Amino acid sequence: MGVVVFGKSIKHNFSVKVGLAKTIFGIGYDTAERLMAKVKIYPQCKMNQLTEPQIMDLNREISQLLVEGHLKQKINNDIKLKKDIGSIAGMRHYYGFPVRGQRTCTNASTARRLNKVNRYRL
Amino acid sequence: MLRFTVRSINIINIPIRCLSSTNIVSAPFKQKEGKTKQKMVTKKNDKVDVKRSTNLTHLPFGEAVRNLQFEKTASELKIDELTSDFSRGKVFIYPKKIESKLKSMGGFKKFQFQESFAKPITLTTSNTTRINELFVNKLDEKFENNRLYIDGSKGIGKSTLLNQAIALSLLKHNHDIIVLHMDNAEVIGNGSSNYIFNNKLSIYQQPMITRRWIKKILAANEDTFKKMKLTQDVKFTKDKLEIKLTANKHTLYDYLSQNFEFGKTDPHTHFKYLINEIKQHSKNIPVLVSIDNFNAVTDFSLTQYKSPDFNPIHIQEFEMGKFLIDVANGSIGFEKGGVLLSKCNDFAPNRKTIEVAVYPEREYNLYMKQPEFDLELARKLQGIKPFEMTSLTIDESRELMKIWKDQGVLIVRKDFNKKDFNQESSQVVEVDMESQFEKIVLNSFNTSQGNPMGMFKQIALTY
Repeated sequence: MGVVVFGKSIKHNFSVKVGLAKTIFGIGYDTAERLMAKVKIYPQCKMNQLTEPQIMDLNREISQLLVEGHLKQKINNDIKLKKDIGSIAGMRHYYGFPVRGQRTCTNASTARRLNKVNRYRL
Repeated sequence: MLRFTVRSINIINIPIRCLSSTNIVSAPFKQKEGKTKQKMVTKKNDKVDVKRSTNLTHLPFGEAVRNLQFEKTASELKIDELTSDFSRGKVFIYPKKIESKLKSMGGFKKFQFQESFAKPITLTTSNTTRINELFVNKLDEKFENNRLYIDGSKGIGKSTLLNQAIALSLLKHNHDIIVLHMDNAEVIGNGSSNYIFNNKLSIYQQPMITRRWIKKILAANEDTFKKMKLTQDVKFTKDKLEIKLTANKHTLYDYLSQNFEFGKTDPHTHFKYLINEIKQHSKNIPVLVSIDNFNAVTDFSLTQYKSPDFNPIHIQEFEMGKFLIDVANGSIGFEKGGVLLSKCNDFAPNRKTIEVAVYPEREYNLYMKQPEFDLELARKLQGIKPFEMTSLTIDESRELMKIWKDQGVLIVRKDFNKKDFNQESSQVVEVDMESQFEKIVLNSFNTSQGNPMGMFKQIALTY
């Protein structure tokens, strides 16, 4: 059983804070707490204890934030901009190397995996 | 496949079946000659089913032990009931009515090893006699002069002393007393209840906590509330019908048992009305307020709840929190009675708000800030007298352990001696059980320094 918030199904026995932070891209624990304070959801509330108006309020508040696809698009655009203006960071992204001065002789596996011009597929 | 062909042949050969109204598929098979129809036979299991699982594997050990309900199989207790003229250093059981009241109030907590005995037992110590003199005998005096804070190390019996004080005051006043007991005050600030803002009273209300507490005090004070007539008219809705209760006709019990608006998520003024009613009756009926784990309220004054602008809400901004602080402060306005506050050692020991309030003569760090120290709250709580618990004496420990021995909780046996090399195994050592028991008493008393929880753990939970 899941509770659908912002088009995403969150497991019913998750606490609201953890459920939001784990499920919605762009929301961490701090943002989740802030959202809960705004909507007046109590800190230890579980997903299945949310009422219908509270879910609607949460949806409304989340829709005002930069999350999910829009955020991913923004990150892609930012990387693309760096590459287009010919910055070193952009080139490093293009080659799939670490951007912030890390070594490349060994390691750098995370950079090889993540650093691309199109970081997120949309 | 073979079966299908046989069936299709059957259908073709019997045209009458096709004209019948029943389904063709449900037509019976023709049995082959020389074959008998097989019958479904269920195997009979001669073995008796044994219930192996207790479904407790998902629980932590302590919780699982509690759920096994050993108190139902415990041996019968032959102990006297507690009376108002009790003798010190003896073990008692609570009278049946008081025991049920304490149970409904949540007086017997988890992990106090109550499941070891058929009924909760209590030992009257020097602390009991002191609380009887300092608090119970003064319940007819002014409320604000009768405020005590029970302090002591973990497991020394602070919550038990609260229970004893409640029981003794109920016995002394012949149950004609209002007992407002809160068994765990930390629930107000730990973020476990929903909260709404009441614009009218400009205070936060916690419907879940309030409803549960009202249920508890209603069960504990049913007889007293039935005698208390309402002093003001009141109306509320129940099942979409408006109910009006009139003053001097209906009782407080009628009001609390019918009113379910305490638990609703809409703002209301019913809690204020209830406190006002108790205030009016406190001239004739003494009010005993007992709050366990009170240091959780004061030492964690900034709660887990956050306002819409993401600032932590202070404990005094909550309706229940404000009530507890006002009660401890003495400014609530009850005429007769007293308040007993108790400490819990499970919370942060470096927080000093209650310590500074209760022991103003002690030195403290003046540069401490929130959350370690709340100066405003400490100033507000001044005037509470400390009641420091003393540990059990050797005689009291012996008396308590005698009961444990009789109940089978404490097993007296000879000491384990490792055999020396070439020692004969047939050598039988006779042990005097009386002296062995005395040895156990002295040993556990010395190791735990008269702390009953330590004694119990050493005896029952170690092998």
